[in-house]
Amino acid sequence: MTGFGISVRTTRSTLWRSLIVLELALLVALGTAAWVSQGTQAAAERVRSHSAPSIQHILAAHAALVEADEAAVDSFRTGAVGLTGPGERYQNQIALAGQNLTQLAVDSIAGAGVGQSIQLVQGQLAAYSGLIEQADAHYRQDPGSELARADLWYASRLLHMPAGGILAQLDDLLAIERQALARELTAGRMAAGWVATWIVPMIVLLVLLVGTQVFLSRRFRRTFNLPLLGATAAVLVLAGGMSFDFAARGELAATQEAGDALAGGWQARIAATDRRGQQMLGDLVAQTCPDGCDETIGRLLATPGATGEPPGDEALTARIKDVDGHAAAAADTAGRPMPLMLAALIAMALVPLGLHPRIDEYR
Amino acid sequence: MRTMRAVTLAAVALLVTGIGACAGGERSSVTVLASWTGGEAEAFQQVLDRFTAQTGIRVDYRGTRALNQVLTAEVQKGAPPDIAVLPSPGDLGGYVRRSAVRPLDEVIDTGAEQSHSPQWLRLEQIGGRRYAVAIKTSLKSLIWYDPRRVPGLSGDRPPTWNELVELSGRLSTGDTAAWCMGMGSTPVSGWPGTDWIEDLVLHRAGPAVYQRWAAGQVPWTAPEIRQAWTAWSQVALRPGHVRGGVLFTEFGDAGQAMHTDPPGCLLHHQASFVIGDSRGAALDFVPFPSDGPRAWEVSADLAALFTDKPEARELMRFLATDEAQSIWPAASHGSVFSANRGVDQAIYDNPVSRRIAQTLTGEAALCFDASDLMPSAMTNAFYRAILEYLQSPDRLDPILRQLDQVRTAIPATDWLNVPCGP
Repeated sequence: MTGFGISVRTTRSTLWRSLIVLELALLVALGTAAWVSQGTQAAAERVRSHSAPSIQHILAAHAALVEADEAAVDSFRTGAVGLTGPGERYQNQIALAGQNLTQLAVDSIAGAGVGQSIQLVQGQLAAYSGLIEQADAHYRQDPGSELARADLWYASRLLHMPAGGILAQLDDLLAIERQALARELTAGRMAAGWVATWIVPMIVLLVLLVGTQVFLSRRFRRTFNLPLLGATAAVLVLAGGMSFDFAARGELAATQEAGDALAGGWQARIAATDRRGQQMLGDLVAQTCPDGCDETIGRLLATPGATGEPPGDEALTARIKDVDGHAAAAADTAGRPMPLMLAALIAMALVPLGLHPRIDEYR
Repeated sequence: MRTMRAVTLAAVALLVTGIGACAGGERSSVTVLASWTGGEAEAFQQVLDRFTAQTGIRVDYRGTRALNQVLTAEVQKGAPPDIAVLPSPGDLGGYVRRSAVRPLDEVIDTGAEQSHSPQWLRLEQIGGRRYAVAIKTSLKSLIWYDPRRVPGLSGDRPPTWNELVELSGRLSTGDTAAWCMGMGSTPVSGWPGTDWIEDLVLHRAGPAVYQRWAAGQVPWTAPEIRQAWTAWSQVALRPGHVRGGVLFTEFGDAGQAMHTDPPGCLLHHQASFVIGDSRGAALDFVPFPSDGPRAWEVSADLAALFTDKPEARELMRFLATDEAQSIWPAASHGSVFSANRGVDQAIYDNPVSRRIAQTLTGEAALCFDASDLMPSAMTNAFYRAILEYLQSPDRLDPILRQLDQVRTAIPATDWLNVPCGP
C-alpha cells in the first residue's frame, strides 16, 4: 500500500510515518502562518504609528506655511501690519508648522535623509521668518516702503522656489513618506507572494489529514476517526484565523487609499489658499512697481490654483479620521497569535490521540 | 595528468578571481556634496561618471541649495562628505580655520598644476597652501549688450565711466531704459548690486585698495569706497536709467527685457553665465570701465577635500585634470568656463565665449569677487546694505557706518587676504 506517496512496508510503520508527517506539517503550517501574520502586524503597527502620521504632519506643515504666508501678505495689504505685525494668524500657523516638523522628526522612519531634510526646512523657516521681520520693520519705519514689500516677496519666494524652496522640500519629503508607505504594503512579508507560504502548507496539511482519514477508514473499516476529525476542525479554525490577516491587509490598502484621498483634498485646499496669497502679493508688487516687474508678477499670478472645489474643514477632518480609522483597524485586526497557537496545539495533540490506538493494535 | 591540469587551472582561476574581488572590494565609494541641482547637477554628474568609468570608483553626489547648513552640521558631527564644492573662498576659509579641509599640496600632481595659471593657483590658496580646485569659474566685470541695438559699443575700445554714464542717458528713452537690473536672489538678494560696488572699487581705486578692502583693512566709510557707491547712483538711481522694479526682479530675469521688441533695457552688468540665458541672441560684452591697468573680477565654485580617503584624493586629482575640466564647458556649449589652460578653446562654440575663456586663463589680472572673500557676516550685511541703499540713497552714510561696525566686530583672523594677479 502507498500512503502520501511514501513507500510503506507495514501498516504500523505507515501509521508512525503518518503521525510524524502530520505533526511536522502542523508545525510548518503554524510557523508560516505565525510568521506571515507577525509581518502583517508589524507593518500595520508601523503604518499606524509612523507612516500615516508622518504624511499628515507634512501635509499639515505645508498647509500651515502657505496659510502663514497668505496671512502675512494680507496683513501688509490691509495695513494691519503697522499695529500687529504679520498678525496672530501668521504667528499661529508658523508655530503649527514648526510643531508638525518636530513631530515628523519623531515619527518618521522613512530613512536617515528625512531628519536632514527636516533640519534644512527648519533652517530655511528661520530665514523666512527673518525676512518677514525685516519687511515688518521696514513697514513700521515707512508704510510706503518698497523694501518692505520686496522683503515680503523675497520671503514668499524662499517658500515657493521650485528648486530648493521650503514647499518644494516638503513635497520631496511627502514623496519619500508615500514611497515608504507603499513599501510597507508591498515589501518583505507584505509581498503578495508570501501569502502562499502559509496557504500552501495549510492546504497540504488538510489533504494529509483527509488522506489519513481515508486510509484509516479503509484499513480499519471505521467511518470516522474522531480525534483526527477534531484535528481537521482545529486546522480549519487555524486557517479561518488567518482570515484576520487578509482583513488587516485590506485595511492597510484602505489606509493607503484614504491617505491618497486625504493628500488630494489637503493639496486642493493648500492650492486654493496659495493662489489667494500669491495673487494678493502680485497685486502688492504691481502697486509698488507699476512697470518693469512683468516677470515677477507673471510668476506670482501663474501659481496654479485648486482644480476643483477644495474640501471644507469638516470634510478634511473626516478624511483624516478615515486614514486613522483604517490604520488603527489594520493594527487591531492583524496578528492574533494566541488563537492560532491554541488551534495548532489542539490539532497537534489530537493527531497522536487519533493514531496511537491504531498503532497500539499492531504492538 | 589531464585531471591534474584541470585542477591546477581551476585553482589559478579561483585565485585570480579572488584577488580581483578583493581588489574591487577595497575601492570604497566617494561622497560629494555641492549646491548644484537640476541641469547643473546633471552636467556635473557627467564629470563624475567619467571618473567612475575610468577608475571603477563609485561617486555618490548630493546637491542641496542649503550647502553650508548641511556641511556645517556634518562637519560638526564628524561625518563630512569626502569632497564638498563650496561657492566661495570665504566659505572655504571658514572650514580651513576649523581644520576640516585638507591641503592639496601632496594630492594634486605638478602636471595638473601646470595647467592652472599661477594666479589661479594663488586664488585657490589660503595661508600659502592650496586647498581647492576651481570646478566652474565665472568672469565678472562685464557689461552685456546686443550689438544690433547698441551699435556704438565695442570691446576694442571700452568706454570710460563718464562715457558709460553719458551713454546711459542717451539710451534711456521712452519705454526703454539703459540698464537691466534685478536684485532678487532669495535668500541672498542684493548680491548683483555688490558686484557693481566691487567693480567700481576695483576699477576706480585699483587692485591694491580692492584687495585690502576685501581683506577688511579699509573702512567702508573711506573715500574710495564711498565714491564707488555714489558713482553707482549715477546709473542705478537716476530716474529712467534702470528698468523699473530693481528690488522685485530676479537676477536671472533681469536680462530678459533685452530680448523683447522693443527692448525694455539695453545694457546688463552681469557675469559670464549670462551667455547661457541669451535666448540665441548674439550678445557681446565690453569690460567694465577702468581708470587704471585692466583687472577682472572672477568667481568660482571650489572643490575641497574633507577626508583623507585615497579614492577621494584620486577624484580631486581627476577634477584638476584638463580632461575633467573640459566636460562641463563642452556640455554647456560655452556658458561654463574652466580655469585650466590645457582645456581646448575649441569647445567654446562662439567667439564671445572664447574671449571669456582666454581672459580667465590668460595673463590679465584676476581678483576674486570681494564679497565671496569676506566673512559671511560681512557678506550678508553687504547684500542688505545694497537693498537699503536702493530704497533710501540719502541714508548712504549711516549705511556705510553700519557696515563698518560689522567689519570691526569681525576678528582679524576671519578675513582672507587673497591677492589679485598676475
